Parts: sequence; C-alpha cells; structure tokens
Amino acid sequence: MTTAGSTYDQLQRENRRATRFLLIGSILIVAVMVWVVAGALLGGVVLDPVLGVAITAIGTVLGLVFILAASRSGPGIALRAAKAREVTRAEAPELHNLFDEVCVAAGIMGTKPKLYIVDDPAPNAFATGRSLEDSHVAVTTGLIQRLPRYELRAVLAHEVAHILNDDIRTVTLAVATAGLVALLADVLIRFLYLGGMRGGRGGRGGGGGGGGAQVIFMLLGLVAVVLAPLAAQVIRFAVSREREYLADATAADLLRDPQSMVNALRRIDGDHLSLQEFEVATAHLWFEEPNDTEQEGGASKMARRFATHPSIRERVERLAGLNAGTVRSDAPLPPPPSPGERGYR
Amino acid sequence: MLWFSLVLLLLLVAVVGWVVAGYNRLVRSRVRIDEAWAQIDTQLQRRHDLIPNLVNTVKGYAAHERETFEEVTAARAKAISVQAPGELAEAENGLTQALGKLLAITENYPDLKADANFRQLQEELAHTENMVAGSRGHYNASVRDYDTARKVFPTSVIAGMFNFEDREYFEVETVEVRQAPNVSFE
Repeated sequence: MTTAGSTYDQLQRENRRATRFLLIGSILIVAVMVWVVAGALLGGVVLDPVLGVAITAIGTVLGLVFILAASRSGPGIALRAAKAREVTRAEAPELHNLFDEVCVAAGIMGTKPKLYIVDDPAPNAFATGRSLEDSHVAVTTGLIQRLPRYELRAVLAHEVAHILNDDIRTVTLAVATAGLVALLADVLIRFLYLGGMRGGRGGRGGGGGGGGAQVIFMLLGLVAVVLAPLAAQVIRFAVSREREYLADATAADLLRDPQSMVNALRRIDGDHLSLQEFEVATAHLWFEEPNDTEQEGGASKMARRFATHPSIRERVERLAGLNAGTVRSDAPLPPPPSPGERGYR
Repeated sequence: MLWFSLVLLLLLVAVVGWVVAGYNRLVRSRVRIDEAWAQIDTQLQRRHDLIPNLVNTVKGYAAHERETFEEVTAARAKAISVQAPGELAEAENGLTQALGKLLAITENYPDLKADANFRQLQEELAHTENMVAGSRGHYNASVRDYDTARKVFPTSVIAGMFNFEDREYFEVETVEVRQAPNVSFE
C-alpha cells in the first residue's frame, strides 16, 4: 500500500507490480479451475503427474486464448452497455478543445482516442479500449454541465492517463478473465448437478480409483464454484483501486495542474447523484464509483466493501500529498458553469 | 579452439545486438522530439493566426491604444521570422508579454468584455495558449528522455559512437489567460 507521501515513481512501480500480480493471479486461478473441471470430468487421470500437468497446461492455454479473444470485443460491449454515443466537434466544440489540450500534452495527437457522451445527470467518465490505437473516452452530460472548464479537463486527463498507463488493456483482460472463471464455474455447477444424479442411481463410475477421485473432485468442485468467482473479483478490485491513484497523479502531472484535479474530485464528491444505468461488470471503468456507497444501511455498506474505487477523500489526500505545498484541498471551489453556458446537453 | 571461436562469435553477436538495440532506442527518442517539435510549430502557427483577429476586435473598442497594438504586431512578426528553438522561445516570450499587455488593456473596456465575438476569441486564446503549453511540455519531456538516454551508461557509449547531438529545451513563459473566462462570467 502507498502512503500519502509516496512519489509518482513509486506509484508507477506499484502499478507495474499490480499488473504482474493480476496476470499471475489470473493464470493461477484459470489453471486451478481447469484442473478441477478436468478432474470432475475425467476422474483420477489428472492426478497423474505427467498427464495431469499436460491436460491442465493445454486447458489453461485454451483458456488464455479464450480470454484474448473475448477481450477483443470488450470495449465495444462496455460502450454499448453505457449507451455511449460518439460526439463530433460541431456538437461539443469546447469539450473537444479540452480533449485536444490533454492529448497534445500527452503527445498522442496522432492517435487521439475517440470521444463519447453518455446521457446521464450524474457527473462521471470512463475510458476503455485495448491499446492507444483502439481507445475510447466517454463523459456523462452531467459532468459537462457541472464542471468548470479546467476541472472538466482534469477529468479528461484522468481518463487519458488510464490509457497511457495501460490500465484499459489490463482491466479489459481482467474482465475477460473473470468471465472465463464464471463460465468454468458454471460448467462445474452443471456437471456436479448431473453427476450427483448419476451417482445416486448406482454409481457406475469409471472404475474403483477413478470413482473415488471423482468424489474428491466433486467436493473440490463445490469449493471452487464458491471461491473462484470471488477470487477473480478480489484481484480485479485490488488492482483497479491502485490504478485510480496513479491516474490522478498522472493527470495532474500531465497538465501541471493538480489543483483542478483536486477541485474536480471534491466537486464530484459533493454530488450525490448516482448513475442511472450501468452494468456491474463495468463499474471499475468509471471515474467515480458508480455504485451507491454514500447512504446509510446495508446495501451501501456492502457496496463500500466491494467498491472498485477508493473513496474520493482518500484520493484527494494522496494527490495533495504528492503535490505538497502547491495544492489546497480546503479552499472554496470556483463557481460551476451557468446553466446552458455550454451549448450542448 | 572451436569452442573458443564459438564463444567469441556468440559474444560478438550479443555486442552487435546490444548496439543495434541502443541505437534504435536513441533514434526513436530523437524522432519523438522531431514530432513534438512539429506539434509546437502547429500550435504556435495557430497562436500567430489568432492575433490579427484579436487585435482588430480590441481596436474596435479601444482605438487609441495604438502603441500596444503596434507592439503586439511587431512581436508577432518577429516570432514568425525566427526558427531555432532558443531564438523562437525568446521571440515567443516577447509576444507573450505584448499579449499580456493587450489583455490588461481589455480590462478597462467593459463593452469590449461584453462583446460576444471577444468572448469567443478569449476561449480560443485560452485554448491556444493551453495547446502551446501542452505541446511545449511534451516537447521538453521528450528532450529530457533523449538527454537521459544520451547521458546514462551504457547507452551513452552508443550515443558517443554515433554522434547523437544535443537538443535544446524550449523555455517560454505563458500569458495568464487562465483566469480570463471566469472574469467574463460575472
């Protein structure tokens, strides 16, 4: 974990470490799931050191191929799920101006990400894609209407920072991994159900040792069905929280304007609207946690525990720590833009 | 003897591979500087194009501030005429100061500040100044990367072998146009 005083370099190192953790963790989970599924399907064969390793390795490679294939369509699905529509310069000239300012500072004018708008009064934004060449940034209409010029720019920079830090690719891969684990768990559930019925009718398994192993694998399968999707989620969350701090820091550094980033975070923190429509699977993509974590009561408590984002207060504190002395996090915020000042809704 | 020459050959291949990799890294880094410079050029061009329009709009309300207009126009002409990063930075600094004076004058003319055309120009100017600042920041970051690669061992050896030349940073002060849009909303 970082402390409030950590530097930008440290954050980047941690980001890389988190990426390795994510990759190794997902491969391990997939491998274990493949092994258990194979055990439940084939019986004791997988206990054989040579055959078992070979089967598991082949299954894992197939799983990784599946993940790569699935992640190709990920960004498109995320954009459709959020009902994002591409916005032209004629529709939103100032938004495009701000976006250009961010892209020119990042040195990616040649491969500018596509810009989208989501019709939603809650101020929020997200980035998705597989690489710099295939990257997309979406902002809600609420964000455009509520944030002053330089704060809106800071949020755009945060999203571009996710693209520069390679977070979009990592998150897309993590989502695909979670999907595969869920799929394997589903296969196990069905098999356990069918296997249980067959077992009840007379237990004519593959013969002595295999049958015993199969029972063990059924039990293991039960445990895996419960734990694997949870493990996949934990990996995803652990990684996406750290990435938010780094994206905040990168954005502030890119524009040499940490104050606007702090102001934007504080302004959005003061806003209690939650997104009207979003998919739980894409929660980690957004600028601010889209789940409702601010109310009293059980549902919000649960949402806080499983939040994909750190609290905004924590983000402000870390950013202020990185830019000690140049940033004020207690000054009154500049006034919001007057209604209808930006010519688009 | 055969073993010895084999090891020697492998070593040679490794050294050549290492030199090629380092050389390519330096070249890529230099290309990035050139691209960043082209971007600065584009943004400065945009700044220069905006100025006559700005001067004309201000003239409509404050015709007798001739001295300032002439200063801005002269500074613009000078900025357009120079090329080298160092000189250009100096000329752009002069233009920045002249622009600052022009913007200070506009404070005295409430009618001008209410002018819709002027407001739009203000957003354009703020945007352009930000684009200049952003492209300059990226250029300087690219030069810093290149400089680091040139000076840090072991790439410094390759940089010396192939004569990778020094590149200039681009230092400018910018106009404080940031506050301008806020003022006009009041």
